[in-house]
Amino acid sequence: MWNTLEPEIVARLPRPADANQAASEAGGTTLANDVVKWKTTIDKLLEIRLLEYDFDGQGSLAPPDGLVDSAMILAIMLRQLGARAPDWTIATLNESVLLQWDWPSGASLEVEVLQPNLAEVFVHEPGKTGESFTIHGTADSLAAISAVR
Amino acid sequence: MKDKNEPITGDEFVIRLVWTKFFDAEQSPPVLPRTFVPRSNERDGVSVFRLACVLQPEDVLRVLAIEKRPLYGIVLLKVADLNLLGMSVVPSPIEGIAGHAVIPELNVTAFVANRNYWKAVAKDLARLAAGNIVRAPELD
Repeated sequence: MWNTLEPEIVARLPRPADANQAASEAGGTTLANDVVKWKTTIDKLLEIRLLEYDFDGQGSLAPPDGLVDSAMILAIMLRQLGARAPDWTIATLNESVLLQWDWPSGASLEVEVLQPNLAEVFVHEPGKTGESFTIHGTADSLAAISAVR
Repeated sequence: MKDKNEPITGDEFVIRLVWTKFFDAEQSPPVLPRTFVPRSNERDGVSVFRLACVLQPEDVLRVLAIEKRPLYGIVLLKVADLNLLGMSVVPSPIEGIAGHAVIPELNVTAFVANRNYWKAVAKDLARLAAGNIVRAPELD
């Protein structure tokens, strides 16, 4: 499993309560919708796993299966840790998978899975220098997803 | 229309193509900053087109296969805004479409060397681009 989600990183994960605050400001997400959004997130990851070479028409390579599996495990783990569903779940054009959360203030948090069991967390608030952290996993995460298939 | 050999001026706009998954009208901003992260083959800088050198923005879609064109949106950035962020636009001619250029400072080597800085810049560019959306992708 992803084994080095330090408490200080977990503490920065966007919570459903943030979504409620955003909902009151913009009339959008609610706690109930978060369940649906997490399902959409997983569906999008499954779609990403089906991507093939040149999916974008500009010669991009699809993220490797092992990396997408790893992203899926991480997403499930983030959900279990109480994070709200990401606002964006995409394959980048550089063979990685990106989960991104945005706040109405313009702040954002990215979790980009760069390799199987290796992700970079980037936190940015407007007007400030961004911070980044690396989180690691082990091959156990792949074993775990194999077990649930 | 300007000739492709005319100097690029601050009052010009450049066109950036936006991959469909990097656009979501329900988000704010609707353009994902990832639009401005260089691809691994953008070693000379991210690819743009000078609006002044084409009849209409959609002309630049000709760089893509016909079936892929609906998968791209089009946004504009003002050259002066890029200059304020410490970037420039230089010509990088390609066959078939006049006005191709690159933003040389925003290249894959620089990005890898200073990811935090360039990710923050990409957010600024996404915010600017959100104010100049020419067309959203037609297909998801």
